[in-house]
Amino acid sequence: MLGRLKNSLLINAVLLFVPVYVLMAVAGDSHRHKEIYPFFSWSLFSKIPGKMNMPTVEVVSVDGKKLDKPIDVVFAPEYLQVKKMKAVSLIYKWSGARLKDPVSAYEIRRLLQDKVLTQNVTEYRLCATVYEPAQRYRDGALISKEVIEGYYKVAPSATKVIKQGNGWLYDGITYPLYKGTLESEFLKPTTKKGLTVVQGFAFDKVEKTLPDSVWVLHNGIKCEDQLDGMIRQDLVSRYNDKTIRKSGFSGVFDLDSFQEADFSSLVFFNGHVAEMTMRTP
Amino acid sequence: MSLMYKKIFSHVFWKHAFGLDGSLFKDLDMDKAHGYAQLIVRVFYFSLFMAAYSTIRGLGAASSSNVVDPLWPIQWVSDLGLNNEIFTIIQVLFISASLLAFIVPQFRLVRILVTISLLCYSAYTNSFGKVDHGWHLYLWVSFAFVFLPNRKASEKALRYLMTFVFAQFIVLFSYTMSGFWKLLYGLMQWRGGETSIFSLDSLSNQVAQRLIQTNSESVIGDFIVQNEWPGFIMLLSAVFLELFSVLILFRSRLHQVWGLSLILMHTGIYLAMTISFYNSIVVVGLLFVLSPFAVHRPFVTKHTLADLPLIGNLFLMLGLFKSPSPAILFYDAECGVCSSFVQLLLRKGKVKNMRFAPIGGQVYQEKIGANSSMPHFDSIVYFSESNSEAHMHSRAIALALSHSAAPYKWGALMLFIPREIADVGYNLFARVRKRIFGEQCMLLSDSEQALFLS
Repeated sequence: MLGRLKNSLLINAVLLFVPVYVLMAVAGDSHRHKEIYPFFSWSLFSKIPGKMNMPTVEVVSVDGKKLDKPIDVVFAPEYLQVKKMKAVSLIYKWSGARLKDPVSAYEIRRLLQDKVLTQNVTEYRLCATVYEPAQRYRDGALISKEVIEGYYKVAPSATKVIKQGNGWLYDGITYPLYKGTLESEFLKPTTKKGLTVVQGFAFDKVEKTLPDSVWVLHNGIKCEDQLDGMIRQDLVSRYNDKTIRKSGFSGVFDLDSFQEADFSSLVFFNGHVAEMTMRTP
Repeated sequence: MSLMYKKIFSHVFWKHAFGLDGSLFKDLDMDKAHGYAQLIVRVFYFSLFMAAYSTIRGLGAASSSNVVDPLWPIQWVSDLGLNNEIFTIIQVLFISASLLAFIVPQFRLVRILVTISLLCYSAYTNSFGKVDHGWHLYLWVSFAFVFLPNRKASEKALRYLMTFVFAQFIVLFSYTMSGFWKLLYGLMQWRGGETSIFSLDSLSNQVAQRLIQTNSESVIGDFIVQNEWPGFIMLLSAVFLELFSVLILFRSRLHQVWGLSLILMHTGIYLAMTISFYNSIVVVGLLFVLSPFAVHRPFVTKHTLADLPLIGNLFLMLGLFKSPSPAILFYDAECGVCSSFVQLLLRKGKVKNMRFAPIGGQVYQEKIGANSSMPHFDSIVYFSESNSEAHMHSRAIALALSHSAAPYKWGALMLFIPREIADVGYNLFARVRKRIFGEQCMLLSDSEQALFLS
């Protein structure tokens, strides 16, 4: 009886194995490890990289001195405390978190600053680069590079943003008031993981355009860890409009205590600026 | 004949292992192949021991690192709050078990121990946030080898070799999956107007991206990025090799060529992209380059080319433009569909250079039965008198049609479909043919009778 069962199992082993393996491998694709171990789908390198969107971190200053030209840390292992691949992986995570979770983005940036970049890096910036791999390899050419945000290890004495009669003054430039119809939400700060988080959204209700940038201010000083262009899927359904999907913004502050009145928020459209009013969440 | 043999011959999968043309068990000295397979299994465990031993450098150092994201086989370690030094014990167990399996591979308990310790060890090394696949093939082959029969099993040689085939299947299936995804994503990217495997700069981009991401240099990477044509051909060859891997399982004449080609592919990837496939190379080398189903067969270029998926089919199809060489079509005289097919060939198809004889008759015994240690149960067998090669299933139908006049001759175009795939449809039909169509007696004219050998 047992012998027959064994024979039957052996004869049908392949027929049993294939559907189980395929099912597990396909199911594993949505798993956080990209596989239900050890049922790997063997799909590595299946896609050919064409136009690559890659977040990069460039070192701008070392020991307080600006470099001749900002340098991508992947090509400058002397500014890394860890292996390149680990740094690349963390930069990707940071870039992804910036669209969804301001606190995670803050934590990853701190990790990058303290544990990945060497201690002598005093200024760095996050960039979004677009390139075609073969072309970049051959002559270093990029299709485009956009500086997303710059960061200091120790922030220099910050310039305050000051309200003037006909606009806002910052660093010697006066920004006139925006005349459009602003739809926005600037919520009172909350605390998460010991950090103060300010969140909201903004867009032009009539033109259906997103702001060029949003500044979150604390005592009139720009927040270093502020994000704009954050994904707000809830607004798409609320306003039934896909164009406002990335209208979210946030600011994360490491404060011992705070007063709500100390926070403010400015929205920029084509060099014009509008102030948002704080609301209760 | 035993019940097991009967089951195998009628099985949808295993019946291909006993085909007439270059299949696994054709003309195979079972005892010799069994002994050889046992030796390969022993060497497999030796190679695993060496691979396990080479991890000893990390012994202790690894245990000082905390796992970031434990995989399920070692989840219990985290759940129980055990110290990470437990992993040193797993590593030592893995090394010891593989050494033991090399010494006494015949004990199933030892083989189970190897599989479990390898599962845990590999899970541990992959619990730091990124899953690597260096041990996967070793693990799956080790899993298949658990089912190797113990010493006292009856029909030991056959069961041992069948389990060995199961292990070979798993390896080939993995490659086919890899090829499948490349083809699927390639078609999707091509449809979306993106760079795909069908673009001239496909491998150039793939290699360049890897070298940029890792900021590394490779032996032939620069050449491939700078020269698109060689890379394009190499990538398409690799996709072909991977995609059709599973089809060569029963084509024993291809085992060594395919194994060497896969090793060449892995070597190429290493030289271009600096990704090491040491473990995969060892597994493929042992299971295919040293395949117990291939080593005793002389290498004949013509046969190897004929067996190649698509390329072999193309050769066969080119042969359709020539006048077919003399052949005998053996058919199941008790099968209504087979008799109808023969009558179709005779009356409508006006076949040339073909004679007919029943399966199991005297001519069949002379031409085929004597050349094979295995009996065959099939509806149609095509026997080429020029090279004494026999073909079964869908290929026999297609080759028989190639002797007929148009439009029936064009039925032979199915030769372009790999036979394992075409046989799926054939087998489904063959299973029910007698039930649906019953038996039929053939009424033949004098001129037609002259074409029958018995």
